[in-house]
Amino acid sequence: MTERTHTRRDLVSGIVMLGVAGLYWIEAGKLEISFLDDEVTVRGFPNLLAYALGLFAIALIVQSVIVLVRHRPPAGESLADPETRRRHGMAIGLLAFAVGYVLLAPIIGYVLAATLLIAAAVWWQGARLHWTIIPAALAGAIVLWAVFVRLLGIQLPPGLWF
Amino acid sequence: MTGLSVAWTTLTGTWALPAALMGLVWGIIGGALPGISASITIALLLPFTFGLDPTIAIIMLASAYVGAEYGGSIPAILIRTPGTNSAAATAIDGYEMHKQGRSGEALGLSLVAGTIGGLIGIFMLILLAEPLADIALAFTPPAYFSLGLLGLSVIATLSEGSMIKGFITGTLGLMIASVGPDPVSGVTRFTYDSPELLGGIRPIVVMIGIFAVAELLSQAGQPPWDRSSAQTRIKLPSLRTLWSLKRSLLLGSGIGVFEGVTPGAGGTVAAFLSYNEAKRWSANPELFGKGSPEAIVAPEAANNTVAGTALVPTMSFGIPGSNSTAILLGGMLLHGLQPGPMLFEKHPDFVYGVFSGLVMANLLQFPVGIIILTPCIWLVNRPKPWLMSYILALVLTGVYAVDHSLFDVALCIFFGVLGYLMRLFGYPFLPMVLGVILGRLVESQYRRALAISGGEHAIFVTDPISLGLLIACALLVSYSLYTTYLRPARDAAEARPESPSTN
Repeated sequence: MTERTHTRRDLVSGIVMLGVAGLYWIEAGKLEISFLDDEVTVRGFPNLLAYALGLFAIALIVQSVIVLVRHRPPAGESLADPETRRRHGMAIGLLAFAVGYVLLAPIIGYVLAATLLIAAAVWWQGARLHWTIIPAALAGAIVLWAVFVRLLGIQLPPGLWF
Repeated sequence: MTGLSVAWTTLTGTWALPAALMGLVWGIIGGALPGISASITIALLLPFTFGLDPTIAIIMLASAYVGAEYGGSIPAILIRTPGTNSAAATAIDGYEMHKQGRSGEALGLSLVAGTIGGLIGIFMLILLAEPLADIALAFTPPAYFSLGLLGLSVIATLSEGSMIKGFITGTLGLMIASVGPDPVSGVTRFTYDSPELLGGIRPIVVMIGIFAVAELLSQAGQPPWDRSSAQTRIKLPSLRTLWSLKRSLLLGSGIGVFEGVTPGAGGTVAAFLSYNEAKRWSANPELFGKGSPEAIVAPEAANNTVAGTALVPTMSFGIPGSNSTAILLGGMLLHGLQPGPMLFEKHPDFVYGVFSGLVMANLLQFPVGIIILTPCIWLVNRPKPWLMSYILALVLTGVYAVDHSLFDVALCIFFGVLGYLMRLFGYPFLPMVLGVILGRLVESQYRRALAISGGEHAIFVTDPISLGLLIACALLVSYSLYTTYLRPARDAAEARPESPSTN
């Protein structure tokens, strides 16, 4: 990745952080002040943090603009690069399976949800599609269930039909 | 004497020894897996400690840290892929030795140097932690606030990437910590009527998200790592060889002590610094990069020393100096212990118990390191998609186990995405983690200080300890600004060729 890509990303993230600081400051202003509060009040520290984040974000934006204008670093790898897109695509796929696990676990129960998660993640990350994936994933889920539930006494989502 | 008897009782009358052994084995295996750093190894073990006595739990977690530092050198030497970041320096000459058919010798050097470094680290921990905690007992609320500020500044200025980004993530961490009840009035903040957020966001959920989940998301797009020969056997160095390497060993350990007690530095910095210094002081610097034993011994002694000394600021001040100690601190909080000076006052049994467990873990590292090599190589050779998928399932199960909450799992995934984006945009993790951990302390001490002074901010400069800490903070930031912006500009101006003469 080149300096220009870095600097442009810094500029974008600086603008996003400035937005986060603004939003946080607005939300902090909505907090209710209790009669138990001290002089700083419930809003005081969050306001301080919002100002600090805003200040750092502005510093990052200014620094990025100066680098872009003065040094004009050469353009390089971008998100449109096929390899970069593939890597992010792989991460997004894995993320989707993890989210699916959270949504499914309370319905179908831990063992089945974890089996699906392991099997899908194994396949997605490049393992050959073969029927053995499912029993191997199930075995992994059962081992985890046994360790947490039987050994450690920690209950895992049983699902709707248990 | 009391400390010694407590340590002995812990070792002989509790499950400390098996816990140290289990933690160590887990740590070596976790450290040996490329992509699974020492901090992730500890985080993965955390859910298994829930039902345990806090002392035994922390012994297990700290032993995993010790083991992971050695384990990281195994793939570094065998497949040139460091298992942990701090083993990256070992990979340079370790892999060269492997190519020369000397991998057994390299692994032996790594194990012995790691064990010696680890023992020096724990000795320094025992020596330094309590006196520093005694100093910290004199801290007033303004001093504590300034200490938190200094801790955040140190981490932000020393973090990878720019200092500004370090401060941004540190502030974001403090913002995350502000979710939940206000420390003075108890009014809930930023919970948006969500009952799961009423108690705030647990630091451990954030840590597992931005360390482990973000790493797994990044690994999904990476090519599989190389496979290693399963025939490797450790060859231990003779005493004569060790004696000839004493300079590198002492250099590595010395740097490890210094870097460990300095928040923000950590094992990786210590390892590379030791590599460079060992080369500088070596009688054969030309062998560095070509399979020099000194180049294995120095970084391995350094990163294993850091595993002990990084606990000094964590236990004495409650300020973790590295990712791994941040997870350890999260583990202590989870088990109802507040690290800091009061830990030594209120829970001396815990402190001395942990010390004794760490001594045992470092001693056990030697035999366990020899025995476990073959299983480690077998595991490293498993297909990456399977390993990563099982680890993902373990991570999500572990996070659920923290509070029986799928909301926490979803939150952890959210922080995983945030960590992935932070990596993409070059933002350091540690300041955010520190912000999340220190958020409550910083805010409550800030408000207590202002309550004492009647709202006068002058209290932060009239309190002598607070003033000293704030001056240290200002000096540190000024120096970082100088080295980041002014010095490069000056150097560039000096390097610019003079304009041709018009004569």
